[in-house]
Amino acid sequence: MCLISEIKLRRLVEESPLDDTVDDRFTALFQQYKNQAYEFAVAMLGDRDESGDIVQEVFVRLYTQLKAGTVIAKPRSWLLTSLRNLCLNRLRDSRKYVAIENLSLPSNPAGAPHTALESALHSLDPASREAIILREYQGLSYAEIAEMTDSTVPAVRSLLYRARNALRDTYFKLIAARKER
Amino acid sequence: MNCTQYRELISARRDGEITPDELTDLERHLRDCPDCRAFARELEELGEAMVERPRERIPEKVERRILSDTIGAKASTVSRRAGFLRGYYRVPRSLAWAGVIALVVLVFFQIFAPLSKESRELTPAPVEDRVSQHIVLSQRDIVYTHSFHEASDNSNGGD
Repeated sequence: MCLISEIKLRRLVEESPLDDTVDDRFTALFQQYKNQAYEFAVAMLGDRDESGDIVQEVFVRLYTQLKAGTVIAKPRSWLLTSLRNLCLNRLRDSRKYVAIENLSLPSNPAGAPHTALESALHSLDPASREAIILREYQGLSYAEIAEMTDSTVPAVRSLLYRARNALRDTYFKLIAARKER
Repeated sequence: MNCTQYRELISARRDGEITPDELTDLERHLRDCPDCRAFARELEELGEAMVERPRERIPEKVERRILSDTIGAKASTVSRRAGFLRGYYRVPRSLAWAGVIALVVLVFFQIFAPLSKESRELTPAPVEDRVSQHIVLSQRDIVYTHSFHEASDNSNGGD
């Protein structure tokens, strides 16, 4: 009985990281991924204020998980998956709203004009946009994208082709239209 | 394979996700198909635009907000709770709980655990028993002393 208690106690101590270690680990992860996370959210949502809120929510969740002693083996993947889910929820919610008010591109802060690339990216459906962002902006492999989106490598390859094709169409049309002006 | 399928290969080639056989097949097709070559060129141009895009950096106010909601929140909680012990005697929560549990278990056993036979025998007698035992012994001493004096008086008287 004593042995069991000792083992349990040792496990309890080992599995619960010290507060200082949690803070250090969180700080290191935050410094490493803060800009990547923010860029992902902005690229997905096209709204910097909303992106700031979402990134904040995700990092607070990460901190809570670390404090609870949860072992996060792949923090980058964890962060991107959490961000992705929140972004898709926001897009789903905003689509309901935009359907009533008529669709327009999300606002850019300080009234800065969208680049042709930003505009073309936001003309894509969320799944295509996400595939482009994960591959081109975040540098994930097909296997990683497939794992994150609960898909397969051939499906990701096909999705990326369709996404790039649509992006290419819109992008070059926008470039041509801006040159004409 | 048709052009759509070859274009999927062009896209995969950009990502390095193409097999050597597929690459050989694609290169052969590109030599003969100007439309697919134009597609490949445009895809490269689009790729360059994405690489050269202005990078987003998290705004300072968002960064401050996040840190104050995480590490900052904890720091303020610690200072509220710990008072003058702040930062000096901080013990990991798990160890603190283990200590509390160990203390409770110790107290529990001290109160409720039945004593062993040996320890019962070693337990000193209650005060009343010890007092009465003392009285009995004292009385016996008095009797002995008295009988001793009587005996010595008798022997002296006999002389």
